[in-house]
Amino acid sequence: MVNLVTSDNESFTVEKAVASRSVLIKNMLEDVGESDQPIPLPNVTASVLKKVLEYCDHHKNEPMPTSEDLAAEDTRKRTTDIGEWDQKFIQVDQEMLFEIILAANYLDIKPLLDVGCKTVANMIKGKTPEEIRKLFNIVNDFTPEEEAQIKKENEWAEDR
Amino acid sequence: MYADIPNREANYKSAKLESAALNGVSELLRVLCRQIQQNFGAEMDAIIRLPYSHGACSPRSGYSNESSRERIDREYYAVVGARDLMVRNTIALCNQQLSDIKTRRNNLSPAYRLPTELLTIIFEYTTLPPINYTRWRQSRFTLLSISHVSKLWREIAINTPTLWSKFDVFNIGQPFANVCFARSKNTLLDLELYDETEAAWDSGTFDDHLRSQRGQMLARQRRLAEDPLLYRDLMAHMPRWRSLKLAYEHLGQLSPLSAPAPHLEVFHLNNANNSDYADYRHSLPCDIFDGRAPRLRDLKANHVYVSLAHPIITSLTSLCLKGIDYTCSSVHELLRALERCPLLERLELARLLLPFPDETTPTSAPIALPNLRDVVFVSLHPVIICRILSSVVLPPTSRLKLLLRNPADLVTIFASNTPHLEHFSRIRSLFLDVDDASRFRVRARASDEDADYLLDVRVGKSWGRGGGVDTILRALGKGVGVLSNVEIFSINTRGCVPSTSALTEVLSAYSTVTHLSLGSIPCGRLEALLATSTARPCPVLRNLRIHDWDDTACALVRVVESRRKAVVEQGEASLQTLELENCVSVDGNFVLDLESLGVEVTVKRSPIEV
Repeated sequence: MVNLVTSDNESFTVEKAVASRSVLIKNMLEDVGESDQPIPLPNVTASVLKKVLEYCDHHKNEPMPTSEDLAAEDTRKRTTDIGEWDQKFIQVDQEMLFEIILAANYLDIKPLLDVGCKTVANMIKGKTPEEIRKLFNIVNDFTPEEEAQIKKENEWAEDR
Repeated sequence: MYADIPNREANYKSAKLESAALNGVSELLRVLCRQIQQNFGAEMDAIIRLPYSHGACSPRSGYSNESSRERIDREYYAVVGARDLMVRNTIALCNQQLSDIKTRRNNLSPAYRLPTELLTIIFEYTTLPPINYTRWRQSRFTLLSISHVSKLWREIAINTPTLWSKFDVFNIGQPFANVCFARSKNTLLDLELYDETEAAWDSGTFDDHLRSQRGQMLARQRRLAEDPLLYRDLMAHMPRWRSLKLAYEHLGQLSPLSAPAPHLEVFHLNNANNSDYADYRHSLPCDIFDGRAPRLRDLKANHVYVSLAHPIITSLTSLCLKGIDYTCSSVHELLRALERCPLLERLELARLLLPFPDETTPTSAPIALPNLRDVVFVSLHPVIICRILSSVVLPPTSRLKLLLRNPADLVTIFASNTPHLEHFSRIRSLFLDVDDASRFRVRARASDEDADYLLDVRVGKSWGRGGGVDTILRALGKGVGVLSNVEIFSINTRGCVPSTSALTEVLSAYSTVTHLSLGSIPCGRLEALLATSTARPCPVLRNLRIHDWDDTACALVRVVESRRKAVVEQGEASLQTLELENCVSVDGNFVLDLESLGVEVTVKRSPIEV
């Protein structure tokens, strides 16, 4: 078992197979060898780690992506399709979604990072700039001059 | 009296807010004035000083003096100019300040917490196709939307060249293509000038929405295919091409492709104007890419004649030839072409006209293609399929997909001596059913855990009674030569009822089957499982599953009795479990009869459940 401590000082004791879905933790465990010392995760809060561990637990028996797999993952052959379980798992509020992405990036859990990024990408696809802004609570910070410039650049796309 | 106090308080608060706002405005104005003075002070001074450089004029002396009037006018317009400049600059600076405030507000949005690298990954995913092809079409301008959302997103999007390096020109048109060419900078390009309906068919995501727009899309494609400007722009970037998927209307459109394509890896060609077999008159030019596409690995020619001796068929890892008339060539030449691609991973040959192989031609040594993972033959003559299969050594993991015109073709393939299908002895599960297009489908895999089918055959039904199901079953009977270790066998031919003799033949052939599933088979046909002194179908059968059955069940009792007898007399393995699912004629007595014969019976979705 492995003991993980979050930024808000909460402890999680999990199976090694679950924790090792994170390349960061796996490398730490390999470096320190057998030890009872808790592993601090200063960039992850308890609520986010709980969710991340749920993902790791579900996928613990799947083979880890090898460097060859990652190399073979040619951009041209990828799609944004997400597995059924993963889709349900990632149905969280927006703040949590971005927190999961950041945690997956920090903990180096590539498949989870992909699920998060694909989910956000699918939310963006086919939307207008205004719809995207509304979706992510972003305001249009272009100056009128910059906006005029953008409009001029893309006059051809107005009637698309 | 007291009632007036809240009003007073409100007025006081309002005045205080106003005062704070005014303070803010005056502070802002002070900042602006300072900035204007810093940025434009010299310019404005120059404008304002201009009239005074002539000196002041005395009140009346210049009254009728023309030059004095001009001076005053100049002075007036200079001040107007200075005022306008100051207003413009003030507005510009205010806008900049407002923009900065909005940027600061955006920094608080959760989406802004993601670092640039992660936003880049997300933006890249927006350029990839999801399952629904129509939605992908609608989202083809998403990148453009992304670059208009905010300053940060724009900066990331337009400074990530790889985002702009993959696009389908027929969908986006020339102006957006030019934006992509410019923003992709020096990265390699993945281009499509393709009939998107074809691509959708290929990806299996063709939906009604897209179907209804096919005419419109083809018209647009034709218009773009004829656009010389588009071709000029494309050719200018030829050294950057990594993949090109091109649908063309006439051969003349290929003539510009005569310069070297040093980075081209994928080249898919589709003759959009030809639905017939393409012969040598629709031939890919010999000098395409000036014979220099050294990295080309993936070639697909759809209704485009590519000579089997063409130098482009060299060192490929994926080769797909569709709808081509090779009657003036030979299977031998095709095999020589494969020999030139020893690292081939995928081979698809569909609707090719090839002369029958000459039996007198001595067969050369089998071609070793150790990386071949997928072999797909569509509507090829079975004799030609056999000749190719017997000339190539398939690695143990290779998957064979066949689409055959009629059931008799499968007999020819299984009846032929195909020694190089030896790896099919790994197959443990065999399924015969009917697919969504009402074709017979035979699938086989090494284990239940395997997602991949090592063999996947679709066969069109024939016109005769039963649609050729007996022929299919007899072909499978012959297939036991290569499928020698099948343990799980499932037959569900739905409306096509096989004869008892055909069932007997196939079940007798597969002597290793321990699990058998029969669907939609009339009760009388179950006699194929009767164990007699002369017939021993599936002698080691332990589990029998019968489903979707609306017939009387008496034959089943006879089958179980006969097999029990065979256990006693001939020492065969006994039937242990019997599963009945969706069988309307099952009743309690029938189950008791079967259980009295020593079989564990499970009944599901039937009038009774056990």
